[in-house]
Amino acid sequence: MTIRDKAYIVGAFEHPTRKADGISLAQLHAEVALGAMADAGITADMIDGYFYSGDAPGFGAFTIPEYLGLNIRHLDGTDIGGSSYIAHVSHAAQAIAAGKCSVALIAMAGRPRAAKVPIEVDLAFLNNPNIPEVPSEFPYDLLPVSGYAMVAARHMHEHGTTSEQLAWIKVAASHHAQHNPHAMLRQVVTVEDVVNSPMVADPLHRLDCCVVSDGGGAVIVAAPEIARNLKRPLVAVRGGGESVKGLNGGRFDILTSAGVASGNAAFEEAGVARSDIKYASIYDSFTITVLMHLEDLGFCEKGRGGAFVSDGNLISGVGRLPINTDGGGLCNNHPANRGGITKIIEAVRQLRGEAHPAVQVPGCDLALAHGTGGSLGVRHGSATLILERQ
Amino acid sequence: MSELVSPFSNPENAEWAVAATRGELLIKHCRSCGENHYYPRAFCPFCQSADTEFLATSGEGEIYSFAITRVLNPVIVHAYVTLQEGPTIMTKIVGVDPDRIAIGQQVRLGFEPSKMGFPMPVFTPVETAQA
Ligand SMILES: [Zn+2]
Repeated sequence: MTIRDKAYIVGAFEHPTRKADGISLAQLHAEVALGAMADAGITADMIDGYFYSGDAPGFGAFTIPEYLGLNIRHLDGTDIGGSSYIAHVSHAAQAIAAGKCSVALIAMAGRPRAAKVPIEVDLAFLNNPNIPEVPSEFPYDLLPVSGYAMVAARHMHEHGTTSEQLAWIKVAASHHAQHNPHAMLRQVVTVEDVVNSPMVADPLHRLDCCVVSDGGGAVIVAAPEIARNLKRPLVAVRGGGESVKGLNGGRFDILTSAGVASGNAAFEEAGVARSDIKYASIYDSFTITVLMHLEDLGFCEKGRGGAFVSDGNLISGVGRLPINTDGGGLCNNHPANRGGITKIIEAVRQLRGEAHPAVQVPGCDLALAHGTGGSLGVRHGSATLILERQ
Repeated sequence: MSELVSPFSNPENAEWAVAATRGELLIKHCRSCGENHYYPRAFCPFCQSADTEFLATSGEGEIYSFAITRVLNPVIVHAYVTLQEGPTIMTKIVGVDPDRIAIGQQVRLGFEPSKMGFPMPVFTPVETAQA
């Protein structure tokens, strides 16, 4: 069995806020859900599947379906950090194909900026001695950025990758973000701006890091017969894959991510080639996250990512592979420190031809969305999705 | 079985935590497949055998990667060090100017007090330690 063409993304909505003062977490969840329903042209009574993750308030699914008045017959709370929502689309397609639901809501939202909660406080629940890796790792105060920095340092050591090459990823994001009125950082930056910004964790600079933002987003996935009766362009789920990777008892290659497995599975299911992809949303918590996954998803050879991203190759209208045309997590939005939903939403915009005209990829009929959750340099989850305009 | 030295040690790793208090880094050895692993656990992650035993390490290793986390005060040099016995472990590099650290440097084990209630393994480049 395959999920290919068994389900369609019929609604997508990104919350316009980047700082949610005066609005609660539950309100944010409701607003993104209602926004996606309005985009799809459906009513809440049609939703029978609910997909949620660690950002949802309350204990799992107990809170938001009740708060919104949803009548749910299929639930999925898969949590692989920021990549969760990309996996949810694949899971929703599986559930729809199996007849377990027909219209699935996937929603995420958060407000770390307004709540003034630093990420290390947000993640403090992970410092639980019952988690077996905690005693040997927690005392070192490893920040999320430190794990990614160790990936970057090893990539530079093995492949000669430079800070200037990594900076091109931020430059591309800023070129796209200038056209997005909701983006947190709309100013176009240069390679020099990035490498001259302060070091956060060598070799990563401040401008190698994504924004911290409030907000969120939601998508609606529906069965083919329902999708065809709605007014929106048909965006089919063509393939999906997911994986996790950790330190493997101390025997690991930090330059191979779980994205290899999730990408291969998604491409195999979709039955398309890397060269067929017209647009890619690639999780960009840090510049190195993008570089690693261009390699691990097979857009270029391992070690060649630095050359691949240089000279504007990721900028829409300029380069060979436009990515993150909304400005990505690096410039636009990384809601609740879990930006995965925005990766799906911009891919849907591109496939519908609804991206900003300055960044719209002409004839965009096949797009990829990839998410990375957790810490790339330590343990992380990956989810890859291939979507097609029909 | 050793006494628990902290709420952050548990029946599975107590021997590892107690060894740290006497300046020794223990890893786990699998008697079934012969592989070593870290962090220490009851089951071998390579063959799932429960026939595992603690193994004292030489304290010699090599820097696999590192990050100078400058946003922390004081600055911490986070690192992965590959032990002579095989496993690559998360740790810190201490006792050296961060700008003189490089991947591939030989390092030697030391211990540092931690908020866990038992000391944690850290490493110092060999050349610096001898200087
Ligand atoms: Zn074994």
